[in-house]
Amino acid sequence: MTDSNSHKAEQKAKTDVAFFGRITASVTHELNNVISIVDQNAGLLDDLVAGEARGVPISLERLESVSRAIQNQTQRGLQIIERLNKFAHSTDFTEAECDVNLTIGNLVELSQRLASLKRMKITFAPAQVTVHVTGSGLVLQRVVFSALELALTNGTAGTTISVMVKPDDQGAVVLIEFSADSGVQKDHEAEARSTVEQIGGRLEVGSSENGVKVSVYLPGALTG
Amino acid sequence: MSKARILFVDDEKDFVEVVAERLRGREIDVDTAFSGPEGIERVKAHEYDAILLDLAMPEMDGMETMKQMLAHDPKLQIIILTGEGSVSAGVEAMKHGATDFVEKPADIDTLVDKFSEAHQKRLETFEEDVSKKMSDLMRKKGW
Repeated sequence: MTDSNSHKAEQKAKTDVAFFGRITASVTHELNNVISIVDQNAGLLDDLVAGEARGVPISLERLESVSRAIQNQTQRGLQIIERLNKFAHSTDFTEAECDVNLTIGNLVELSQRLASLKRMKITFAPAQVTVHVTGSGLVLQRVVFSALELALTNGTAGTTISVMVKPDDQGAVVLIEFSADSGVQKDHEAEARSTVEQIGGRLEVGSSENGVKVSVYLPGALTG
Repeated sequence: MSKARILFVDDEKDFVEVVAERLRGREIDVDTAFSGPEGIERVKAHEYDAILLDLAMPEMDGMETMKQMLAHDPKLQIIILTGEGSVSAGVEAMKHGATDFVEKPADIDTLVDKFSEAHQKRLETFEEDVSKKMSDLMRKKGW
């Protein structure tokens, strides 16, 4: 491997790790919230039992509501873990056939907390047909996330980001539409474009009924 | 001894409600808010011994909320609530005026101790302020 190729590989590994860290930090924060709620409800049960020992009767309704709260948070936690597990397994192969609908759908769910912190939410519409590209699932998500981040960074608080997958002659296109009062900052756009071009794709930023429309054209085989 | 009165600000509603219930069972008077702006309004309208403030909130994060609260009342005792592994964020908040920080899931007895300390400190500060005002008044009047 030449010095130049070695440097490129090192840079790519760094950006992959940074992206992986960004997503897992956000998701594990949410998981910590889930665990915290379960922990406090378990503590509340202890409090209720201690109260009973002092002569304060425990109401059945109260017990049911604590149990329901624990069940709700357990379900929430399991969903988060399932998404995180799929995300972690996207690093398994550098050359795999990636289902764009499933992979980007999972990325959207993993990004909901980041959107929520910006008072936004993300809707997702998969393509009506199965669309595949070959390459690394992690790289596919990193590239689409760089475009999604344009919406998270430049989008208007209180609005919805729409993400859609469509088949394309070459591979697939991911469309991201959002409201942005001040448009998209040029340096953010340049950074996202560079990221998409590194895998042989193309990024277009235009306008739509909702405001901004970012189109990420993915090649059938991701390069780089 | 009077009860400690605190405000708990966090967007995780289920977490706020269960912690508030447990604190109330330990003789802490708890008021709640689910966003930074709501918390700031409460601080402007009421007096609290301490504010328990989550760092990661939508709309306005905990750091900005804390700055606006302290601009209203620099003596406010703000305890930051951070996610696990976010010690550096808690330390950073203390550099900007937070009194202390606690990591989620937050041990209830630790919280009670911190609020009791905050209550005691506020009483002492109040007594010092009254004493200083009395001294100033006596000096001015030449008593």
